[in-house]
Amino acid sequence: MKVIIDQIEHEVDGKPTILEVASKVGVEIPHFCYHPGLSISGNCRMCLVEAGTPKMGPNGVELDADGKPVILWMPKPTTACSTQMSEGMQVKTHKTSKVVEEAQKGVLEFILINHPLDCPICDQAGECPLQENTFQYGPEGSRFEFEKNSKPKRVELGPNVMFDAERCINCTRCVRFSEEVAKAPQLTVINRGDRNYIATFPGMELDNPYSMNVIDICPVGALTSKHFRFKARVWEMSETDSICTGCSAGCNVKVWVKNNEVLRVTPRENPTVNQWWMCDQGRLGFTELNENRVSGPSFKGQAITWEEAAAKLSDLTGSVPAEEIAVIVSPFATLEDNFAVISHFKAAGVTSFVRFDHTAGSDDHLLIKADKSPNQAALTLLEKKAGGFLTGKALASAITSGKLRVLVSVQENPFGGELTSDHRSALKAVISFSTNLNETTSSADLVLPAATHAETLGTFINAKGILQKVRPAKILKHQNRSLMRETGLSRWDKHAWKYDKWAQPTHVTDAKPVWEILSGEEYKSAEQVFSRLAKELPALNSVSWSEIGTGGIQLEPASKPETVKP
Amino acid sequence: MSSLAGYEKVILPDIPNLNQIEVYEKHGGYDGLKKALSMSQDDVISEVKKSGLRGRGGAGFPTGLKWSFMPKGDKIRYLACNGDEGEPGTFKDRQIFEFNPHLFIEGTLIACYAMGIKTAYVYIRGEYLKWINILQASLNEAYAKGYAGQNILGKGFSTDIVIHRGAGAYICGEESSLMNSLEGKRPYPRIKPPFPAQVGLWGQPTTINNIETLANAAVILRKGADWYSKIGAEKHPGPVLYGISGHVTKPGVYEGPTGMSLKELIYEVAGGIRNGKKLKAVIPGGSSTPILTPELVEKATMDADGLRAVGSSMGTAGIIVMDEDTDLVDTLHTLSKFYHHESCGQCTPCREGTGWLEKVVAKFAEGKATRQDYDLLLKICAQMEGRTVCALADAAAWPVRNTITRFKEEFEARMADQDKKGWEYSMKAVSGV
Repeated sequence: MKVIIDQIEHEVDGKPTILEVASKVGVEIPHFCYHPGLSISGNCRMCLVEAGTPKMGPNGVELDADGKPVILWMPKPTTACSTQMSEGMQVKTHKTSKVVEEAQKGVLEFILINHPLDCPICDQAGECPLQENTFQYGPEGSRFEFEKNSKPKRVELGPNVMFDAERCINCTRCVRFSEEVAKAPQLTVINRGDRNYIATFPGMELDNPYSMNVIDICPVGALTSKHFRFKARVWEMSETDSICTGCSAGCNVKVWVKNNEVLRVTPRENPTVNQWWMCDQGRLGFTELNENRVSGPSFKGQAITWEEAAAKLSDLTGSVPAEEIAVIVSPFATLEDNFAVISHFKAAGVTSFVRFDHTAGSDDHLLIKADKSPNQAALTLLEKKAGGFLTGKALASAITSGKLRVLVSVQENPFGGELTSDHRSALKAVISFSTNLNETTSSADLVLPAATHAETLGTFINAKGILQKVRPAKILKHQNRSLMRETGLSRWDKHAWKYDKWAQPTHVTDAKPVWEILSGEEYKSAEQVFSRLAKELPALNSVSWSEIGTGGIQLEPASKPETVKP
Repeated sequence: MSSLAGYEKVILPDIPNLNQIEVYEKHGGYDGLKKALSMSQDDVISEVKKSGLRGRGGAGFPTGLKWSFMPKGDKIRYLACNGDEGEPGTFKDRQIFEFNPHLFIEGTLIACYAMGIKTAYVYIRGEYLKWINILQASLNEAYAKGYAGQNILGKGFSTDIVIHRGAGAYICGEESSLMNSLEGKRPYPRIKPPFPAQVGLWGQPTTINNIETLANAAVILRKGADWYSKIGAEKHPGPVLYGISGHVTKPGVYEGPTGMSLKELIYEVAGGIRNGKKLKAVIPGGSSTPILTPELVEKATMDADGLRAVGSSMGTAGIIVMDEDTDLVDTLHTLSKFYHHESCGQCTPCREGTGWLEKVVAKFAEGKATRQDYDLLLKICAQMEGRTVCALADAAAWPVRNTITRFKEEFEARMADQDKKGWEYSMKAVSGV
């Protein structure tokens, strides 16, 4: 059907609301309480527009003297978020209507009379819809000259979320999210009028596994993260589009970095993967990207150079026949890393490749998957190339029986569960490629520091078979230009702030992506590894690197699962 | 103009013990229901349409038309009877509960039959405990006599009436808030569309009627639409309960035809102004309807058109009379305080505007206001009116707008800076936040 917004005609399908059509055709209508992932509540009154429908006469639409349809305008401005469009409907936004412009100014003046305006100390400042809308649509000042209302501040709604009732504008997005999306109705509005604010129900906490999404959807700084509060101003951080590796859902995220340290991870909209949401566990898993890192290669506890490390690697793997070497590949590493590992050791004659199972619990109603590893699907693609995978159990018994004597662990921690110290003493040598210090790095002979998913470029395949990219949000000591090109920049990075990530040595890890450690000069970039593996793996034959973009690609499900006996 | 002379009371007739079902039956009680059950559902609706009955809850929407909006079919549907009676100056429904509860029950049953409703909820404000008990007793009688419940009067039609006690919020008198409250939710008004007749209680088609409206429906079926439509004002016919309060000699609820002159009601029915004082102002239909000056009172008749002509509305016919000693600044302050207290806080303009209005009106009450504040009040009203989900913002803004414009001198007299600047002060931001 045809509809007209600000005198411009648009063709739309279905029964969309005015706001949906406007955002689709690029007309901005300011709003606070509307969120595409939640039910319509229409309470903020920010999206008021004038709307009218053509007058219908006995012979269809009535025309005026100029041959244009006569429009019956609604007597009052209506909310764009809740009004469904109909054939021939006309809408006037702030661009063409004085009434709408005044209404928006009025709503913003009202919202601000009891808003503390503590933007200088508010975490939301810089990414605050209230700031942005006030700047663009608000009145130039306020005529309110009374004391503002006092409400509770620093209320701990739950383990991860802090609430400031004075900043709250009662849009109820958080209430609707908890009820409708998280399916955990823990929040409600209490009190009346300008005394009302959000609270948890008596005896309840905001502790559902998705509780922190309310922080993202809060259009003001009323709901803040206990883990991120006061850590950084928004504009000091760089944001890099990446994905979460907390489980096999592969939620799309932005990784926020200041001073080469990951400070927070927030969900990024992707309708086919995670819509607008992510779980708290995935969001809070970033500490391991900053802390407890393996930095610089070491041999039996002594720091060595990368050249020495390469020599040690060939010494140790050459000290036994290739059949006695086991290589643990990792569903936590990129497809490129695993491909490089399998190619490298296959070429050396290794036949025993191992993969661990990381399932725990069961899938939930929204995003959380039982398979806690992000890239099992990629290993499945590589299964044929590897000649099948051993399980953790099979590995343990092969070590005990003395069949396998050298263990290479890539981004796994076998001595943190699957293997014991008895297995360690049965092994001649252990080589660990690891991002973080753990039981395996402390008992390994050779430790090679691997880049985390926040420092590398590569692909992951989630449980739905969607191929997605992780991008480097942090830089490494050994800078690889192919990685740097993809890294997000903050304003301060671009304008050479003195603490920018390129200059500060304290937070820089001496690590490399596994494919770079193993390939030597063979590959210059992750893209090269990918184009090689895409040629080799039938499922990826038609996929090109640039096509993956930030939204990912749905891979064709394999028509027949290839089964290979180890 | 109609008058009390020769008017025969039908809603609250002077019959002792009419709340007892035997007495009620003796005086034509439940005849209307019997008649309705012998008619088709559509015929009952057309009878109500023909009578010209308009809702007595405040908005004055034609009742028969409202009933006809209910979709046909076998969907579960509900009737919600609005006895929240929260509007200041309104106290008529409780008279029906106390003195003629069966008339209301009969009207409710007729409405249920006409719309094919099997469950009716009577939402009564929590403070009305006495009247809830009376109504419950009457309802038990009606059940015992087979007027309510299963297979009513053996005609195969069944309806249950359930009394629900509210918890004390003005906003629950708003029909969609009332539905949310009945559902056990926070009583935020709902966005329309969808209208209750499509999506109402628990998502089912629902009609919401005022208690007095339903009592009138029983009268219509008993006496016929033709008889009914001849009572009172032509376009707003029927008996109406005038709740007269304030500075009159005999305050109370008086039944009369619509279209009576306000003067007759004040000076004859309610015995005139107390202690021989002069009249200063009248609020004709509950606190949110625009206030009238003595000159306007002279002309006003109590029906939709008559009150529209003097820039007010019928509302709930709760007439608040104020004598010459009334301080209208304080009166407005009290009203603003009320609306500030009762705004549910859902929509921004009402949530913030009601509080702001109260604060500025308080400045007048304290004698600290300026001319800017006068302009500001009008601007705040303009920013609230018609910008919210329900009509509470309008209800809060209208008394302010009308009181300060119709009684401008009173507000001027309370300003701190009477001799400065003049009225042409143009609104600009006075502080750069």
